[in-house]
Amino acid sequence: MHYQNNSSKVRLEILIRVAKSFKSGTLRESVDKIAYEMIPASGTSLRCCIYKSRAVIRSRCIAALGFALENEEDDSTLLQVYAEEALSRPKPEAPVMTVLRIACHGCVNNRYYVTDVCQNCMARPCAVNCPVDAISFKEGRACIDGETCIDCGKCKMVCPYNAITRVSVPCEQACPVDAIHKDKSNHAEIDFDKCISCGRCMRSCPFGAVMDRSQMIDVLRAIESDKKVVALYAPAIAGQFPGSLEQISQALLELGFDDYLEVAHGADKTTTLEAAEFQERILEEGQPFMTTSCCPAYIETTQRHLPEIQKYVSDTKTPMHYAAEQVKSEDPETITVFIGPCVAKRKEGFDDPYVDYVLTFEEAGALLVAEKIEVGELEEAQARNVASRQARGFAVTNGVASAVASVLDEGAEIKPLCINGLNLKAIKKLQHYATKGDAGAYNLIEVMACEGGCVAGAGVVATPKLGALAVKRASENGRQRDK
Amino acid sequence: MAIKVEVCMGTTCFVMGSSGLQVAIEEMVAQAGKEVEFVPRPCLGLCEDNRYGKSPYVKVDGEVIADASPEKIMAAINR
Repeated sequence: MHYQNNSSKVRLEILIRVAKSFKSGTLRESVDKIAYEMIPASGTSLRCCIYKSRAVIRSRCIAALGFALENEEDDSTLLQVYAEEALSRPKPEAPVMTVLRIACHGCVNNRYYVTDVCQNCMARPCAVNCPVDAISFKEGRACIDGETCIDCGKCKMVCPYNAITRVSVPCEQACPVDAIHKDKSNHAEIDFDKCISCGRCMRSCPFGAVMDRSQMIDVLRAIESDKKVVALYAPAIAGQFPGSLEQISQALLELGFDDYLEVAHGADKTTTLEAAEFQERILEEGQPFMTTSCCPAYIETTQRHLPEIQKYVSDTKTPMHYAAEQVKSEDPETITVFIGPCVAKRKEGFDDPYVDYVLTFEEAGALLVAEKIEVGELEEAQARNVASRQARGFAVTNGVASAVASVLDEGAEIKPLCINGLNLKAIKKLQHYATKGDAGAYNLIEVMACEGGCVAGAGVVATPKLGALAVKRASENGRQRDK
Repeated sequence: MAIKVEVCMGTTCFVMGSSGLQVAIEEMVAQAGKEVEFVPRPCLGLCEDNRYGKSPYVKVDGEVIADASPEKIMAAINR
C-alpha cells in the first residue's frame, strides 16, 4: 500500500480548505464552493468529467465535516446545512469510517482475467487444467467465464506466458476482517458490526472512496472556546512534520492548544503496569500467554471476531488512556485531544471518557498548513521531562514487547511474538492459540494491526519507513528508565 | 556534474508528500545511472496564494516542478 498518492493529497487539500474557511469565519458560506475552487471550469479532472469530480469532492467535504455519507438522504442538500450542524453539534459520533458511494468505482468482481499477453497457444494448459471448464476461446485468446469460475487460480499458475492475472477488489483485499463488500449495485459497503475501524480500506482504495469522519471542526471549536485544550501527541509524531519534536510541540501551541503532553508518558505507565501484569499472570500464576492491549483495532477485533482470546488480553490500559487520565485528574474541565497516526483510536476515544477528541496526523497537518505554521522555523518549545526511550519506541513493531521485556528482572522468561499487521492468517493464528490455550513457544504476543506498527497507521502523513527512522531518533533522546 | 534536485521540506509540501520523494526516487536514479544531489530546502514559498494543491514543489537544476511525483522528477532529470 502506498502512503502518498493522489487520494491522500485530495483528502489533505479538502481538510486544509475546510480548516482555512473555519479560521476565516466563513465556513458556512464557502464550504459549498470548495468543489468549484478545486475543479474550476477550465480545469481537468482525474475522473470522467469535472462534474463528477466536483460531486465527489462535495461528498469528501461531508466526511471532512465529520458526517457519514451512509446517512445522506438528499444529495441536493447544501453543504452549508452540514456546516451549520458541525458548528453546533455537541460531539462527534461513531462509526469511524464512511464509504463515499459516488466515488466508488464498483470494482469488477471477476477475479481471474486473461490479458492481451495471451498467445492463443495450442497447448492451452489453462483450459485443460480448469476444474470447472470455465475457459473458452474467443477473438484470438482465452476467456474466463466469471459465473463458472471458482477462483482457484490454476489457470494463472499454468499459463506459460503469465498472461492471466488476478484482479482483486482492493478494499476487500485490504480489510483484515472481511467487513467491506460490494452491495447489490456493486458499490462498496461496510458492515459496521464487523468493522474494526483500522482504516486499511481507506488507504488502499484507488478511488479514495472510503474516508474517516473528521473531528477537525470539533477541535477547532474547542480551541476557540474558553476551555483549556491540551494536545496529547503520540510518539509516532516524530518525522510526520519537518522539525524536531520540540518544534512540533511549539507548533501545537501556535495552533492554539493551551498545552501539550507526550503520550509516551502514558506509554511509560502502560509499560510498568503491563510488565507487572506479565510477571503476575505468566511468570507467577503460570498462565500460558498474554497479548498486549494498546492497539485499538486489535481490541475491536477481539470484541467482534475473537471473543475466545479476550481472557488472554492484558487488562492494562493504553498510553492514550493514561495520558488523558493524567490531564483530567489535574483539571477535569480540560479538553483532551489525542493526535496520532491511528484511525481506530477514534473508536477508543468514543469509548473513553477521558479522551474528548481524536485527530489524525493528516488533520493536524491540514491545521498547520491552514495556519501557515512553518514547523522547521519555530523556536523549540521549552524543555520538559521527556518520556523514556522505551515509551517513545512504542510506535514501531516490537516497541511494546521490548519495553515490557526491558522492565522485567534480568533473566525473566519472556518469549515475545510480534504479530506485525493483522490479516486473516494472523487472526486465525491468534484464534488457534486462544482455543488451544497455548501459544507454543511464546508467552507475550504483541499485536499491531498495521504492518510496521503505528508509524504505518492509516492517518499518517509521512511514509512509514521515514516515520520509523524518526521515531528511532526521538527514542534515542528519551530518558533512561530506572525500571 | 551532478544534477541538483531541491526538495521543498516546508510544512505544506511535507504534509502533501515531499518527505517520501527522495526515498522514492533514489532507486530510479541509481538504475538510470544518473548522478543526483538531493538537497532538502526549507519552504521555497511556491505554495503562496493558496496554490497548495500543487504541492509538493521540487526544483530540478532550477526548474520548478509543481505537483512533484517521482515520475515527474525523473522526467525532469532525464531532460
